[in-house]
Amino acid sequence: MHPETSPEIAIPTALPRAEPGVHRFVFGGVAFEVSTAPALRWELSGDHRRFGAPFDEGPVAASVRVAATSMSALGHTPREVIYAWADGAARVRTNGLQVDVRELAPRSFAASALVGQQLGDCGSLCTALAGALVDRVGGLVLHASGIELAGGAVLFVGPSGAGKTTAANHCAGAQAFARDRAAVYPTAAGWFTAPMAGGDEIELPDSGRRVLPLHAILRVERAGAVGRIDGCDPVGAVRVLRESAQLGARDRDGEGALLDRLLAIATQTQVGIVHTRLGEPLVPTLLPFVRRSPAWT
Amino acid sequence: MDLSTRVRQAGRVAARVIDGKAVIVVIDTQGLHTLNEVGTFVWERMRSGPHEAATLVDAVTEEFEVAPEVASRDVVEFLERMTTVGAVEVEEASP
Repeated sequence: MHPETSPEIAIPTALPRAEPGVHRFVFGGVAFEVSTAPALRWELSGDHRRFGAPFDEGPVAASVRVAATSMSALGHTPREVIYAWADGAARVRTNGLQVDVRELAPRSFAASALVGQQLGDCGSLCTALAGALVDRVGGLVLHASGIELAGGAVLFVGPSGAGKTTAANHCAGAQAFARDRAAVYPTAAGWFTAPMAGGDEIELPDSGRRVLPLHAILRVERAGAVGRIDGCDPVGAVRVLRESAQLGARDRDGEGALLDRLLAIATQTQVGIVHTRLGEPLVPTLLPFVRRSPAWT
Repeated sequence: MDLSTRVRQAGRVAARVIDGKAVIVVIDTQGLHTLNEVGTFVWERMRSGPHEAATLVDAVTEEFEVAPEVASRDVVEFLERMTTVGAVEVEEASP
């Protein structure tokens, strides 16, 4: 006789009580455990806390030790996030911080960070490191808003002004999930996504705080007459995804690998173009398309 | 550019053929370009190294239903566009 198992019964909004100087949270699909030096007072900013999640939901884990240093000791650091993986290790550099990270096991990382003392929270560190780790595990970060629908996520992508947030706001009855960026990564159970903070202040109550199966990625366009969704062929899907991917500098091999990754997303998830009409509820248009997703159960 | 011009795939590009269409990323401009079936055929021909435009025209006329003069015009125009976007380089004539 085997003991019966049942889904875990959890209180999803409660975080484990942190030891002093240890912060545990999920951001961008990465379960962070950040240990800070005693002299360093560091907290998640409100924006990042809103897009955090309980500690046990991250499919990628990172243990980060953080120490403070003077900005001058860091030397010039770039505004954009720069990193390159080699032999399972990378140095991630961006404005006012530098992180040396190495892969301990698949999807498990240890990192040592030096941050300029004037940085007041760990948002920049989380954003930079999550992007590098998601890249390492075969995913990428998309500029996207998104909603939770039927147990999965629908991401809206497109250039600035395309109407990503407007599309999310036209999904009455669905919970907001991401407002500007989302990490997308492969798992044994298919493609998953997690929200990341960023973007202009827009009121999206009840943010999902979740890591969800990825139902669909939709490029937003304004409709002429009738709201609808057109599925993309693989080439069109790669074009849509690359347009919205947050990319670092890559060489020829890196660009080729990125094309392979985009093609994998394109063929293993639903990618389409949603033609939205102002004021027209979007969920009835989304549902038939989303039901064709491999993540639909 | 004319039929005697020698061309090759540029060094800083990444490309994949997806559903019979080449998708090309020019690294320095981050431009993404998609080719049709004939363009993909010419692009794949250039993988083996530099080619004279005329040999690419000959290959196109052998493979597709097209008059030589039309193929000549179209292939040269295609190569000029590909050169403009940085996906193709013209090989300088050796002295």
